[in-house]
Amino acid sequence: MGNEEFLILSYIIVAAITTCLGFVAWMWLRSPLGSIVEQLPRKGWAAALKRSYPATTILAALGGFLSVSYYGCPRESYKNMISNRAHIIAVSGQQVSESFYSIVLAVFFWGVVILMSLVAIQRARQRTKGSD
Amino acid sequence: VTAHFVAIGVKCVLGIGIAFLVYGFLQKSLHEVLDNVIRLPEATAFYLRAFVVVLLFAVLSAAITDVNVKPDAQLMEYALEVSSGMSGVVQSLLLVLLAYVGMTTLLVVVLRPKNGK
Repeated sequence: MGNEEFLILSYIIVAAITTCLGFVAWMWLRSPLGSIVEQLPRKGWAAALKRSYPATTILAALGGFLSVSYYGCPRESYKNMISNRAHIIAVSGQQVSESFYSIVLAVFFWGVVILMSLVAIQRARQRTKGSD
Repeated sequence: VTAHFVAIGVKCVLGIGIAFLVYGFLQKSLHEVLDNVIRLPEATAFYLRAFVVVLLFAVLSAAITDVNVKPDAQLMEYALEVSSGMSGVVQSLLLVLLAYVGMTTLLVVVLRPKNGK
């Protein structure tokens, strides 16, 4: 297999792997997150949060993948870049690594969103108790 | 190329091992404190699962980095490269742990007074 074919194949495989990582993060946290947001007082808000969660994890994974450049710094020519297969492998690894990192940031962000949602749920419960 | 993959694989395995060790040490007390503060089983499950995700993904993110050794390198050169790469893995684990502890503290501060006790 030539280096150009190797680049194309590795690019597609790494893109698929990073998308799968986003899916894994979504599936792993989907059910507890869904149960929490369903208790929010405003139902539209719950639906928006539920729908935006998979989008953020998958986009974070893809964003991490796309943020890595094959050309390096200073920018090399395409011919130089594909002449080195070890470089292509190293960049593929970096793409997966960046995806993992972006998902970690996204999960932390959702940790804070859930914290605020818990405060909203707690306030709604207190209001209900107060009115009883 | 195979030796490079083996070196990265060793870093991943060691990193995952350390991450599970940290999780094992903290899981019980974290479960207790979250149950006590939040009092919503789904939220406890969410934060514990999120903890697993951030620990594992942070470790793998740091472990999947290039191994800078020449093709004719000796075995010990790979071993030294792996050990220096592990410093990044441990640092990233530490950062995630600090951020998670910070978030848990925020949870306790924000939710605890209104929950009584």
